[in-house]
Amino acid sequence: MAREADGLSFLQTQGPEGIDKLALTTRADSFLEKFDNWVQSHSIVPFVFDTACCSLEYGWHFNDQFAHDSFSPEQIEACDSDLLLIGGTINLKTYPLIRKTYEQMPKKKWVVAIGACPMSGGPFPSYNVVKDVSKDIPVDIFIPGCPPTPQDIMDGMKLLKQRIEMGVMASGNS
Amino acid sequence: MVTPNSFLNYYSGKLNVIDDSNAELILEPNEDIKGIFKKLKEEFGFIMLIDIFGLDLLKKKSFDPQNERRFQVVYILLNMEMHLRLRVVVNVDVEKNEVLPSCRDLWAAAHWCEREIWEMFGISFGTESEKRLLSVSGLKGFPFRKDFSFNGLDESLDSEESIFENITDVPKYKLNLVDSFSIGPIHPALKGSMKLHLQIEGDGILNSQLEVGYLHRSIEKLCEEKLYTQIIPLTDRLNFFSAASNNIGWCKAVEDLVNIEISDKAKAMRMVASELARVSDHTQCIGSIARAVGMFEPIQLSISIKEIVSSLFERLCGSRFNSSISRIGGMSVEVPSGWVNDCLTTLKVISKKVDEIDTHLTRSTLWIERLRTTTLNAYDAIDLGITGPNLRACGVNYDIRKVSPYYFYEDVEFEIPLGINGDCYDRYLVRIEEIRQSLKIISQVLDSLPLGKMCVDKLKTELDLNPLNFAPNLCEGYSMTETPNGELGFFISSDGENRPYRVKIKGPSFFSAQAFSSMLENTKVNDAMISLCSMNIVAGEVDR
Ligand code: SF4
Repeated sequence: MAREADGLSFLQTQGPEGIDKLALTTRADSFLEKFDNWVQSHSIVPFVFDTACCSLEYGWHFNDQFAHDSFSPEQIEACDSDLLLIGGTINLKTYPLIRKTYEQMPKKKWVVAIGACPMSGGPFPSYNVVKDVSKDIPVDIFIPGCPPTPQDIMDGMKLLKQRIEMGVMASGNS
Repeated sequence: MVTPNSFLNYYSGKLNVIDDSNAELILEPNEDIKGIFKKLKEEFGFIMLIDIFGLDLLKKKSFDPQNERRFQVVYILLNMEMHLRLRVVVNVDVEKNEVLPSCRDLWAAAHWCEREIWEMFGISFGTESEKRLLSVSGLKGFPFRKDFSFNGLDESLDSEESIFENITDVPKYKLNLVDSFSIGPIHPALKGSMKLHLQIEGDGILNSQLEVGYLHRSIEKLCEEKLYTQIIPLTDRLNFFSAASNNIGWCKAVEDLVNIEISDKAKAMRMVASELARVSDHTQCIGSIARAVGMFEPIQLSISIKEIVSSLFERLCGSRFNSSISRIGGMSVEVPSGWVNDCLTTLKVISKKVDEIDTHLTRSTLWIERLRTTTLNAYDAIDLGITGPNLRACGVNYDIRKVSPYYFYEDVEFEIPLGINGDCYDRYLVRIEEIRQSLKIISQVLDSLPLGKMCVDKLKTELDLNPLNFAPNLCEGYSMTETPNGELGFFISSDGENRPYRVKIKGPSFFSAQAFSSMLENTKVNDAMISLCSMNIVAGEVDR
């Protein structure tokens, strides 16, 4: 009984004020955030929105997450993921779809645009291609290139990881 | 017996003979177009429709709005026995509500072409053709007309059409088993974005439809604003798995248009590049079928072959995939020293890996059982305008490299593999054999690589080869090459400017995609993805 009085009970540590007494930082919420972000940065679930040529470079690496012959509609996956990878040309027909996918994702989310096409329309300044997806979808990292090399994509992903560790996201600003 | 002569005599007055295997026939809409087409098909053996496309003459310098009709519809027909290509030009005036007869019942391939012409030019072929194919619903105006300007979408035009009609021939007690669902447009098994709608009963497929247009970038329209050289990178993005062969096709089309003869070395290197592209395209197709079946080893092998080929391209021209390797009048790069040797050594590695894929798959019972689906017979395939390995898998021996050889394809030794049944397994067999033949071609060409320059000497042509000034005279022409997916054709119409007046790209996948829409009936849901992968439909080429 006496120990309980001067120490912490288990239940107390579970509360919002409890855990910071165990922490090695002086500011309570920053530890939680840090811990959260650290967890985030290691458990990202990407949703790959690849429409065109850019998927050549990274498609084979990211796509293994899907069971290949499963016919589950993609939207279910979008709800569970927190990273949207946009690779390839977005045209007027796919644009509503990508906006819907983005809205369906949870609040905490990051967006990476791969290639020149989602940034600026790439080599296609035509009526049917969306010039800049970031008008409606806040993008965290743009990886330029047509298509970017695997090295470029790796570098971009490293930057993204730093952002996640710091807890910065473009979607929070809007 | 029909001979070229009897055909020439019949149309002697109207026919423009372009060369040995090309001719042009000009018709007016008040003639009996349907009857002429019927005669062409049934008597003169033009059994395959290569392409139909529209042409807006409004901005042509020679156009006279008072006396001439504003639009042209061009049909390209092929007689596979005589290797004769006929271009039929029909003049139409849309303002006078002229409706062309649909030739869907003569050539099934015409359907999607007619739909495309309707949405792009507003030329109608009857009500069946008045459905959108590529462009987004709600688009105002007809984008390929010369006076089109884009100003927003009209939401009110947006109409949700039901994809499948209500079925009536299923017994009532089975009706609750009938369901429909869609896959895509984003799905890793699809090459580019497209949507596959299926209507099923239990696990059997009743109806299917492939919806395209999710990657429509209107490359053809863009071509009208770009210099001839600037179009090369755009063509890379058609079939992005084998970019090199696309831009070689484009450059060949332009060179044929203005009669430039490129150097021997450039010809040889173009062959090497397009065969390398064929190797990587076919391996990735086989890899994707293996993925759909769920086999692991072949996927890894095909990725590694793709890696090897792309690193060869990287050493050759600095870019891994979208290489833009060819230029009008030659190639963009000199062969780096040592590259030929490296390539010859890597060919051995590739061929070993191909053998390995072969041992994993060809005799595997699981593989054979899963792939014995979706049969396409030769008659339907020709009717639907399919070309390339998909056609050869049905047993039709038609390869442009053999029938109208370009570059040195006459001189190298290679064979055309053919299938028998036309099912997925045959398509796989044809592809794996074609990889071997391609390797054979590359090694033969590299063994006797001609000396010389990569680009045309400036003195040899009176045309200015400077990209800014390069302008063919007033002319038009159609030229084709054999790309991994089949016949890739470019129709170029020039008005004497440094930008083409109209470019039409005949993508082989466009016709495969159209055929696929009706191929899935009476198969199992499980097989849908395998069949789709085996047809190797690439969205970039379908939508353009
Ligand atoms: S950025 Fe280039 S490679 Fe990527 S999708 Fe666009 S055109 Fe293709």
